[in-house]
Amino acid sequence: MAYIDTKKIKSDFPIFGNVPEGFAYLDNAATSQTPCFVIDALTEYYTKHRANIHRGSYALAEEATARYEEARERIALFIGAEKEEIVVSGGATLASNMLILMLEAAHTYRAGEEIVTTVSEHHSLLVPLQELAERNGMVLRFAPLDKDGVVDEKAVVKLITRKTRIVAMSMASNVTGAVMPYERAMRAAKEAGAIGILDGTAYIGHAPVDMTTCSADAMFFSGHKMCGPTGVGILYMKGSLMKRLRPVFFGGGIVEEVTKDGARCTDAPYKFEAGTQPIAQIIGLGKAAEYLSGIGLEAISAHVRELVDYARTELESIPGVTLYAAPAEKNIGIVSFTVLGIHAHDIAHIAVEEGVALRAGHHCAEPLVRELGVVATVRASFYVYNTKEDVDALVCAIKKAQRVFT
Amino acid sequence: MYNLYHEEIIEHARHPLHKGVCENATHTHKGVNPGCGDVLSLSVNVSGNSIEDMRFDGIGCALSVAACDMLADTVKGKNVEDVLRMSPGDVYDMLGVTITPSRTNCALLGLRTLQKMLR
Ligand SMILES: Cc1ncc(COP(=O)(O)O)c(C=O)c1O
Repeated sequence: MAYIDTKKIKSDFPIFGNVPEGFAYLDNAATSQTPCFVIDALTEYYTKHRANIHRGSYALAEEATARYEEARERIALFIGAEKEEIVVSGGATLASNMLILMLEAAHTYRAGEEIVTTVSEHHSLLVPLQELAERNGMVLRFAPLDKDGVVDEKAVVKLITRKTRIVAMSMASNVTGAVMPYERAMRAAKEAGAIGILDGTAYIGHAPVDMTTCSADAMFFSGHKMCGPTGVGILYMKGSLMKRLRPVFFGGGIVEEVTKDGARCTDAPYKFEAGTQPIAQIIGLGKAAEYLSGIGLEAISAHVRELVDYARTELESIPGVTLYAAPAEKNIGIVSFTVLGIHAHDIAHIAVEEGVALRAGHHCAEPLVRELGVVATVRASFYVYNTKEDVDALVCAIKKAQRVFT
Repeated sequence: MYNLYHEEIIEHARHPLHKGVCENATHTHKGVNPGCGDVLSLSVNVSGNSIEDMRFDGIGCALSVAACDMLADTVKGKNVEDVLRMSPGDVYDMLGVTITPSRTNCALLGLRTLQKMLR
């Protein structure tokens, strides 16, 4: 492998020492594995600096606060944002829901106004949008996909009109891996005066991104899909949007003054971080960003695309396999497929016995899977530590399943 | 090695004996496995208090199809009360394999749908 020394990378991840040799972890779109670099940072916080942030004046509290804010800065740098634009959250789902509630609280949405999205969205974005639409009599408009699963750029731009209040879409699909023309859509949203929202969960940490030059108003992602800990995510918002929004969750740490009658909030981004935050996790996520930057996002992306290309070629040559995966050059690292006559669950189950971890189902993107004309797909998703041998193991597993079922 | 996919399960999955719709069905119900999108249409013919016939149609993995097919064999001629008393363990025994937590929904889709329908 030209782009990445996977042998060296793999040795950074203790889990691979605790599973059978040759185990092919191909469920990275569900969650990635964690390198020592991140685990050590968690341990260090718990053993050397544990305290709550922003409040205590003793050394531990100051150390914890410094590390927390340092992580915010590192994550900002990682996505090309200012640190004031980074809100710590419990994960992509929480961030998405919180954002949509805040938008609703800050705007008057009228019946008949529109939300433009795509058929390819994860439920964590789609369902809150559906609920928002339902509450306000708004209309959801779905941009179609092309044959590669990529949102049709012209179609999405055409859907955005003066009636559009929100344009929300993923940067990449968690089912087909398709990288979306998100900047074009966000620019069109901006021109129409609509709020542009990106779900970066499948994308961030897998390919380079620069939010400064991106027209989106907001973007969210989870830490656990980019080598970070579970239980933490980021809601990025442009300063202009942040200023307009008020928090929807209230509690400790975000108020300057509370009387019996009410409270005055602190400044952004702190006012969006009510209560004790996932402190260890955000420190870990900062380290994950540092780890991935050390390898290089270009290299990670190139490596994963090479694996996608190899997997597509190998899988295509197996009779009965149908691929649902964007071509490598437009793919974030995910290959979905079905096998004629064998249910996705059965493939995934037999693969386990072949030492391959896959996922079967609709991957929380049911409208997309329906659009593909199936009830479930098997999904193989690649990351920085995967190898061509993992793809070979996948091919063996599929062939084994075909033998079991004939 | 493939204890889950032993011969009997594969046979039931590939050539189910009770696929289709009951003639003169007295009850029909659609069961869904939200986790995987599987859909199962069940129909039964209950005469008096006894199940005369059970048939199923839809999309499912080998485990859910085999479990359904075996269930249809088992419940034929049984009292409705007895069927309502059946437990997940009865299905696992019928399948003769260990069902891991990730597959319980597959194995139990048939029984759950049937019981919901008869209740
Ligand atoms: C594209 C996409 N968006 C959002 C999410 C939700 O992430 P989380 O479950 O970490 O909140 C996922 C995770 O499956 C995803 O793949």
